[in-house]
Amino acid sequence: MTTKTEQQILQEVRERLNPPTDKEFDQVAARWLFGKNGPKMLAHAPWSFLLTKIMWKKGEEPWAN
Amino acid sequence: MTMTCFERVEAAWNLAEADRVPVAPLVIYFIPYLAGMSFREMLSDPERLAQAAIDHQDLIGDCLHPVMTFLDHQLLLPNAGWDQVTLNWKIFDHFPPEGNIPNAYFDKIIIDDYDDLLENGFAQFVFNRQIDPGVFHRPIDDFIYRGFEYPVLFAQAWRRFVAETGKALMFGARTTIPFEYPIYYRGFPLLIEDLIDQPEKVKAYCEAVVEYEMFLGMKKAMVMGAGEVPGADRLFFQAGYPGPPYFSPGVFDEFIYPTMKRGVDIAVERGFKVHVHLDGDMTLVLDRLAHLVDGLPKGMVMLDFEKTDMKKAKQVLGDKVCIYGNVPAAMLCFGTPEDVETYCRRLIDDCAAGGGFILGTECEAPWNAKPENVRAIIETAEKYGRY
Repeated sequence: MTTKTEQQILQEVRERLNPPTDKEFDQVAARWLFGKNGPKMLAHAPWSFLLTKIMWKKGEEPWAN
Repeated sequence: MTMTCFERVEAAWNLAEADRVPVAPLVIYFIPYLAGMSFREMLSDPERLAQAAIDHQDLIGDCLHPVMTFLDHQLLLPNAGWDQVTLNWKIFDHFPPEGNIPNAYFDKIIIDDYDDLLENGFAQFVFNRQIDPGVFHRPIDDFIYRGFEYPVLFAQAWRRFVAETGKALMFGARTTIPFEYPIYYRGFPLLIEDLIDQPEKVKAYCEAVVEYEMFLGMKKAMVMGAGEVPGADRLFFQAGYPGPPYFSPGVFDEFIYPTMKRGVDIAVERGFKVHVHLDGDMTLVLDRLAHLVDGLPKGMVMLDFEKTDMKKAKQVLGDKVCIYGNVPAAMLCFGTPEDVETYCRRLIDDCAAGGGFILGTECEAPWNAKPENVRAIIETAEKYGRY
């Protein structure tokens, strides 16, 4: 059970909060995950994830050996 | 008039005097140990973890720090610096000394080329040959569960804790300062060389991390109930190696502070409060830390100190930002309740005037702290902390 003061504080928090939207988060996450390829990967998802194949570190691809 | 736990802590954040000094020792490792949980259970069973906290609420004080390692340890990709795959965290059944969580911070190099990482992103971490193949023995379903379903169950458990105890959460998500990442993924020796040989790349790396880190923290806090659950809108911004004695004040100024400030700004601009957890002794950089709140509304930042001189911190920061600290971990294990009371009374004398102080632990109460010593922190606040 919350007090009136607590409810007021929580109301102020709700009015203040502006968390990233899903779209904003996806853009930031794509840049973080795929670097300069992030926007392109996101624009063409899900097919673009096939491109991860060419992003694997040279010489360290699982098929390299 | 008696305040609730949440009201009391909010007053301190806002640099106002509450009915008494708020108290919130960091006990989230200590309580499951006391409740007889295994380390593995602590990381996997949020309902039991929350129940342990409910059962031991007399050792908690006003707020509990729920979101420490529990959400991050078993994830696939770097998450607030701590994930299982890249760092190969091993989860044992037992608390130390029978079991432990050894880490690989210092004996392997996950990042061997900053340029490559900046250009191609972090996804390549999963395809890095430095990764122990053993971590992939976990089925993909388990990684998905940990990333997307477990946080929801975790949040539900802590909502029950808040409802049943009337206590607040200290924060709703954990984030880490960008500079912590190269420590984890390059190791100390190489990072020290980098600070001299390729300083601009270290800075670029920190800048590349910070936005995602804070966005992810905000997203996690929303799952924990920010705006609905008292305290869940606060982000824990961990700084395990933020300055002295690990790094000089000069390194702090040039490499650590800029993206620490940027991280705080990103979160506060979106309405989230930031609990900056500063391990080490930050006394030498207090003047610089005072600028962390420049341009921000009052009451949005709290600085949590480990070894820092609290009296000096109050003098430098007291009119700008709430401070938290710092009963020594060793005293909680090896001292007496009288030792703890004496130490806490001095902290109250030095820091409580005018509000803006939360009595707490130096980093955390170790798993093997004496319960009577942890209880003494809370009792001293109740007995001597009245305003």
